Amino acid sequence: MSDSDISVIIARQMKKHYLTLFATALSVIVFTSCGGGDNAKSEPQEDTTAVDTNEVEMWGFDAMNGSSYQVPSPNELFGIIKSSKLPYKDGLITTAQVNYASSKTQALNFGRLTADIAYTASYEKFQESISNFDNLRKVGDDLGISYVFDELMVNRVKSNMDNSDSLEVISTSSYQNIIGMLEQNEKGSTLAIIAAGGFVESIYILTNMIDTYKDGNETIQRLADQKLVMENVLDYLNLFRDEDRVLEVLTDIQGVSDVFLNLDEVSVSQEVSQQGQKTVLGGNRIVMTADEFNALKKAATDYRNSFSNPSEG
Amino acid sequence: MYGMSKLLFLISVLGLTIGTLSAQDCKNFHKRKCYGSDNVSMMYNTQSKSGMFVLGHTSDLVFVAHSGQDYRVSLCQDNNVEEPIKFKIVDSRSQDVLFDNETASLDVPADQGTEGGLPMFFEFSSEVTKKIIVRITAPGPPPEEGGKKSAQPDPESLFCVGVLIENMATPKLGF
Repeated sequence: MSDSDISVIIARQMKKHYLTLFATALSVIVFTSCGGGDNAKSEPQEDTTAVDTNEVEMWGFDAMNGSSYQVPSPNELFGIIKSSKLPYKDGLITTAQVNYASSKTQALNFGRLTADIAYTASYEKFQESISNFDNLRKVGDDLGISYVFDELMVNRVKSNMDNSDSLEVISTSSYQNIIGMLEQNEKGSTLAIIAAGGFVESIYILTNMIDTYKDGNETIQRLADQKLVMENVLDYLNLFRDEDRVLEVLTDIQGVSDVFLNLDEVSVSQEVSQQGQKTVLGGNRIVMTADEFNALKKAATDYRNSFSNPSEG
Repeated sequence: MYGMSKLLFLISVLGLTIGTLSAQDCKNFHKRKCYGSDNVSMMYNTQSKSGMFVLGHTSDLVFVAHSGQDYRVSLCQDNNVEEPIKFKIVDSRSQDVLFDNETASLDVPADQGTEGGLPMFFEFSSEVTKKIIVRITAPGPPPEEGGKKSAQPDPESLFCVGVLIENMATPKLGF
């Protein structure tokens, strides 16, 4: 980046600081005088302005306190689960198209659909993947982020969905593109809610794929490990807790987070060791009991059903 | 009155237009500039990220590494900053420093994955699922209070830093 580029950035940010404040104030006046404050479609616009004002205040990784909490994609989890030979379970997800009224439920369901696509793609379920990709585009349109689906991506998805080798790869790269575009457009709080929706859906699917709890089972261990992802989801949401819709998600997700945060951890190996040339990181293992598994399954199913049901929107 | 309304409209449009352009300049920097692994099995991880740093600033990127996976964390920075960035890999639970590029031995070719004599990547195998902190410190004295942009740093002290994360299933040894 050249000096002149940097000067332009600084100038832009200074202008933005004052002009955004002005535009925000103007928006309030316009919405109030037009009586448009209770229009559902105005909510995301107000949210976005609030996020922009906050997000440009800091250096580093765009977060309020200088830290950035990353959430693994659902594709990463289901890619690993696939190798555990756990069979696909019919009837867990729906491909029905539904409408969601608020930006909160739209973002939660956008996340839900990315997890559903990751699940069906990893098990090579073509029709379900295509249907839910269409549903994802529809919810993306409603959420005002249709720009994340460029024509190239849509054509690539549609023309390769019947190729089992590329289905999973395309699902993963589509997710990457979408997240990249949302980051580029500073949709921080929307991304945090999307991540929460995708995470809850992944837990719902995973807990329901496992019929009964078995001590020492590899998939149960994978599920317990998601405690660390849960922590990052909460930290990510907390960065935007000034927004009502984020605060609501933090409250509603508590049934799931309470189970995760109470899981015990035991030390199983050295933090760092060398195996030949390789550095191996060990440390704590998270433990989940049968009661905790059943409580998590219920909490994830209840919350997931509450936001995926359009009547709740 | 009409003129005033028109002026307000133009200013608000201008404000919103500028709002959509700014603070994006380092996005995807890691995809463009970071040296990834030569291993074709290593796949891009969506927890990768870039940010804009001011000299002396420290920022954390917290990511989750799954058990049974090998990871490579590669860092890169703008060429206009002569001194290399420093980074530590920290265990989020114990807060123990697992790797420090300032004290690590340099056993990689000088033209690959190094900056100013410091290694710019860390590779590891994750035996258990772990939350890892990549703590990055830009060279120079710490910036003013809280890193607020209102502190108006010198434009020359701003630069992009990228963190590229890649992973693959840990290869099984033997039969």
